[in-house]
Amino acid sequence: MNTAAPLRTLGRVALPGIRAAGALTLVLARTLRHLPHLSGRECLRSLVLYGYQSLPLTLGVGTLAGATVVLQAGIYAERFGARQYLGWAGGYAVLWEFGPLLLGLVMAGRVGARNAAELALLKTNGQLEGLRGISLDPFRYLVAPRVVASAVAITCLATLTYFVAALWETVAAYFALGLPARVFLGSFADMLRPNDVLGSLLKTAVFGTAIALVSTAAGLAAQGGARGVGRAAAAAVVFGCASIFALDFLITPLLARWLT
Amino acid sequence: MELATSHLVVDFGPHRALDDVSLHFPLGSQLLLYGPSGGGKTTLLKALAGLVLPTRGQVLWNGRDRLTLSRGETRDAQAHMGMVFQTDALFDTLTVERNVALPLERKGLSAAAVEEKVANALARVGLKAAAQKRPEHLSGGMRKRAGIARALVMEPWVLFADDPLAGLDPETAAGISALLLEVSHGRTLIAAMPDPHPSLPLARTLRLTPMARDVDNRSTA
Ligand SMILES: Nc1ncnc2c1ncn2[C@@H]1O[C@H](COP(=O)(O)OP(=O)(O)OP(=O)(O)O)[C@@H](O)[C@H]1O
Ligand SMILES: [Mg+2]
Repeated sequence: MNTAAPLRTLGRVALPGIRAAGALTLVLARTLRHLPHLSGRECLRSLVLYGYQSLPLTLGVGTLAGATVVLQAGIYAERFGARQYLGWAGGYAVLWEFGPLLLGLVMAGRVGARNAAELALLKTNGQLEGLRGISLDPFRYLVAPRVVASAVAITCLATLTYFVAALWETVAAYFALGLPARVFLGSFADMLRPNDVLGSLLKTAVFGTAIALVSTAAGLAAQGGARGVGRAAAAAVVFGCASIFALDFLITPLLARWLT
Repeated sequence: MELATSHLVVDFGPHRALDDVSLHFPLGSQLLLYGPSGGGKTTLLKALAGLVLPTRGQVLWNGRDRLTLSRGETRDAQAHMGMVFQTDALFDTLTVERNVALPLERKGLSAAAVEEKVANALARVGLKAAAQKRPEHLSGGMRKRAGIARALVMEPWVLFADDPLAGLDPETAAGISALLLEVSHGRTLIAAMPDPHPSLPLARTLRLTPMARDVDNRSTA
């Protein structure tokens, strides 16, 4: 109709994106600023809440991921007569792709939603403002510890997942394909290099940080009562998962080129 | 400590919450803000406490525009103000005692001094027995009193009470009113509630409505 229309559409699409990027940057910058003097008690509390209490879920994910990968890869390994490489294939798949991605998605739901909901509730109930009223920086006392704890918790849980997955891969390989643990673990140990583990951990740390930042920004943006809290939790899961897929797409080639 | 507003306007987006409010509170003055929901009572209290920024006009602390104060000066001034929040803003993850101790954090006090101040504040509001409980296990009236204790622990010169009687039965409300009147001795008390309550007769009242405002200065300050 007129020349301003496309511009307006562009603005409508671009503005929320820019605003979201700004919010994420702000959360990251303020967390880094408060890193030297975090409240130890809040960090510990959040670590227990986000990390320790997510252990059963993580063990479950590790078990299923490990067993499924071996059973699936085993079919092809049999077909192409590459049974002795199964350990490597399984380990590689879990370390580089299944582990980080699967765990990231589960944690976006578990830790991300929880973090966003807690912060949203603190915001809408006025606790964050209450701290400002007594000259305490809510970011330093409540927000930064949560960002750090969720990022650390997810990274640690991921490491554990890989061990669990490898264990169940061995078990599955033995029972389903009759591959002795020695052969399976042998090919695992021979062909996987420390860099594979490093790459996997880096990836997980990036995902964990992304989940922490996205869910924190979502929680802090909450407005209104119970519906605001619900919306914040949903946004944390949706955008957390989306950011994991996007980051996976972006950093996998980079890491692969750098580390292999 | 002396508080004042001068032609204060606060907008939230297109919505005007406060329109041209000029008030003056010498130390020891009292004001009851009342009026229907959405009239801007909470907004005015928060603006006075420095938690909401003026869109236009000024909030003056001891005669100085608070926007011109440095970070440290702002912190010092805020240390002399205690706010009882409408939502009480207590942390359910902390005990009552730790909630009340929060304003003393980073004040460089010894643990013993903090403990003593907290115990005094809790005794003042009659919550000594509940010190180790978590707010989620308290009744509404007890939560209000915990909020008052937290506002009092810094020995502020100005006490803000946002809807302190909401949701309380008449007897508990009378108790909280008596407590507020008692602790407000020698301090400025600015309270907000939907209607004036007979148990909390304050010297001045100001009616804030979403549409129009009319000031009623019974005893001017
Ligand atoms: N953070 C905010 N963002 C947007 N609008 C706000 C915000 N805070 C208050 N308002 C709006 O400003 C107006 C005044 O709100 P305020 O909370 O001051 O009213 P109130 O008199 O305290 O009401 P109540 O008696 O319900 O507590 C309302 O229309 C409200 O919607
Ligand atoms: Mg209010």
